[in-house]
Amino acid sequence: MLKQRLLTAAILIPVFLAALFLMDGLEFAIFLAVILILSLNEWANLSGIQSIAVKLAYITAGVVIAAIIQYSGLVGQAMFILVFALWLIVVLRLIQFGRQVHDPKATAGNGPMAWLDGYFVLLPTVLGLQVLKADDPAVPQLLLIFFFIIWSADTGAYLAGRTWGKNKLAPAISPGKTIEGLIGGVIGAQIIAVLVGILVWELSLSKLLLWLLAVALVTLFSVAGDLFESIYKRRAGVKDSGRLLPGHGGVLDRIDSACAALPPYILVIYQFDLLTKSAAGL
Amino acid sequence: MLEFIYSIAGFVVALGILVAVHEFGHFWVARKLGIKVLKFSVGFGKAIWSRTSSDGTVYAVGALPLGGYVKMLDENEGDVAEEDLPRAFNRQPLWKRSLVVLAGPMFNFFFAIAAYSLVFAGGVEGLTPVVGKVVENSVAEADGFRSGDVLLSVDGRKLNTWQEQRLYLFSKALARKTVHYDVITSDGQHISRALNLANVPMSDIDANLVAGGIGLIGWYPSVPPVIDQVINGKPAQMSGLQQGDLITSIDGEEVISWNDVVRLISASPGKPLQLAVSRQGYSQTVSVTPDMAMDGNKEIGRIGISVKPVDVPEDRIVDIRYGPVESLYRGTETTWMMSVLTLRMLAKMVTLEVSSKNISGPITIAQYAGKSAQVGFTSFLLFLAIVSVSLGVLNLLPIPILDGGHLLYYSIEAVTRRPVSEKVMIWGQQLGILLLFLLMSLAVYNDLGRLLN
Repeated sequence: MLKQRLLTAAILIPVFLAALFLMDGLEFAIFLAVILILSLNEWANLSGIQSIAVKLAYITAGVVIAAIIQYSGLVGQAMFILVFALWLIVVLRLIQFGRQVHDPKATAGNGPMAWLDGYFVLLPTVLGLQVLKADDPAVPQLLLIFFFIIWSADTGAYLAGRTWGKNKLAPAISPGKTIEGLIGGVIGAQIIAVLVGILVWELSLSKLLLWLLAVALVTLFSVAGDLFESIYKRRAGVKDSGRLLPGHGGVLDRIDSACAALPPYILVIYQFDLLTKSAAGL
Repeated sequence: MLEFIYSIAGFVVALGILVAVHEFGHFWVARKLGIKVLKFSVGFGKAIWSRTSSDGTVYAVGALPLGGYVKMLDENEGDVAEEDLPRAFNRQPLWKRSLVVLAGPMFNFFFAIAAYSLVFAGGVEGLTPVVGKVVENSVAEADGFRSGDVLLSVDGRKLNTWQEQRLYLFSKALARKTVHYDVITSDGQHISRALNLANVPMSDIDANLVAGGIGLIGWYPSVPPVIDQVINGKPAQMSGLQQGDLITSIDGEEVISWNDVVRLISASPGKPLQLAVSRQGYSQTVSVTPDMAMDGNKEIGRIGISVKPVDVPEDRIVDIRYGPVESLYRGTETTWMMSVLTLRMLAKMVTLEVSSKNISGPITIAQYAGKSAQVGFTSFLLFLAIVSVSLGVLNLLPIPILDGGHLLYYSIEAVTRRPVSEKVMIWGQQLGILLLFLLMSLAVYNDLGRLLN
């Protein structure tokens, strides 16, 4: 299992880096579209869409909506504030219901609501990644930093959870997660954030503190993204969202935490004026 | 650090007072109407102080000073004993429930009226309403306003101080109206001038409306261009400017007042400037390149120097004091105007005519709380009045979970003759929470933006 996981990673990481550094704007958009199609397909499975025709319509509609939003210039601060507010509600509901052992349905939608949740989770994510890439297609610093934060949070959570993990974070949704792991994740992300804040962006002390606070928020949201998808997986009775990436599950399993973490991250980027170009439809 | 403590303390005190006022409104009317109140709490969370009165009502102060609540006997929130049923909130006729809900925001308005009246009765200081400068190419310049104009009245409202016109101009600018001034020009003529506020761009209607949007800057004593403080690490310090330097010219242009200095440096971000200064009688020239800074969405230059403020001469200061009746009238009028203004601004934001950047959140409010508390009792009271009006208006918005949302449900009930169904309530609640989160996120986001720039 671990071997398989590493092998897949050995293929995934170069593909990812190639997408980041070698692709131009259009190629990256196509790459994102592929990811969107794959993950919408997985979401359709999780939310119980069985008919192929409906599934096809669901995925097509998702891609079309994303394209319309992109080209109508709606991608900007306002959109991400809206998405952020929606995630904030998810976070609060997770806090409210995640610790109860009974049915966690209250946190996830049914039927059409579950389908809409898929759009809510995935569309802003690809649009946001596009914003970050468009800022500087040659050296996508903002994208790299984002993924470093997410990965260091994952790693920190994994290590801390394995070493000290005792108190369950959300037993009703994801029994493997612990509060110790959450703290480890926050600390892991903070380490990257300190390095980036001082070495890359050379922030003043007060801005650095704000940036660290913001990254802590980004980290907490990433956990919420993970848990939110877990609810759907649990309801569908599956452990992974798909089998596309051997050892890693589906595409959705790889990007779930990024989906929730991206809106606050992008808002911070806007707020700190870190976008070098105004490509983001401001 | 002291600033920070003031902000936090001011915020907690302000919110504590205003929430207490709001909840007291609900509480007082509920009691008067014979509804049984179980608990009256200022602040949420665990009680740090509580007391039970003889009739069973619990009075408490919660540990989290960010709100408060009144808990009334209600069958929807728990079992109610048979003999208490007539005193349960949900059993009351519609008009009684509406009054209880309405009382919260109303008490916020009453508080604002009282605060403004108190300030008016205690006396307000202001500057004489004389135009100091008219911004070039501004609306005011186009309508003929010139520096030295004495503004006697606007639309028949007598102006005692420069500041008095602000709120009125604000509401007229939002309404896209023309206002008429009675003016004595600098050469002594008594004339009437029309100021067409419809020409002020919607995007300029913000806190800086009069100077920035209309282009009228009140008279203020000219400040000599003498450097008082040089900030470490900024361009001025690095090129050797010192405290006490008198700036005589910038890039060959003669400088008379501090305003000239600000204007010339602001206009040259990143562009080297030759500053001629006189230091202890000797003149010398220093080359400085201003840093780039953002002012709204305009790039401006800054070199990191500040000036010592000068005292305003006595004859330019007006101290007005009103009698109790007049104070109450003015207090009510101001509260009314503020409420309408707040509503109009909100409406224009929804229709995207005015930037949502005008929404402030807890951080900005805390900063103002701290600043106004440091200035003195009167300014803190004025600050409380403004926030109280905002609270009142906000709570009256027809958003479920707010008082206005309840009133919306009640008005539906009045028409359909039966309570709104639980399903609608649950959906409404979701929508309300989303709207509130949206508003809160936006507010905090704007706050951070202000903090960072």
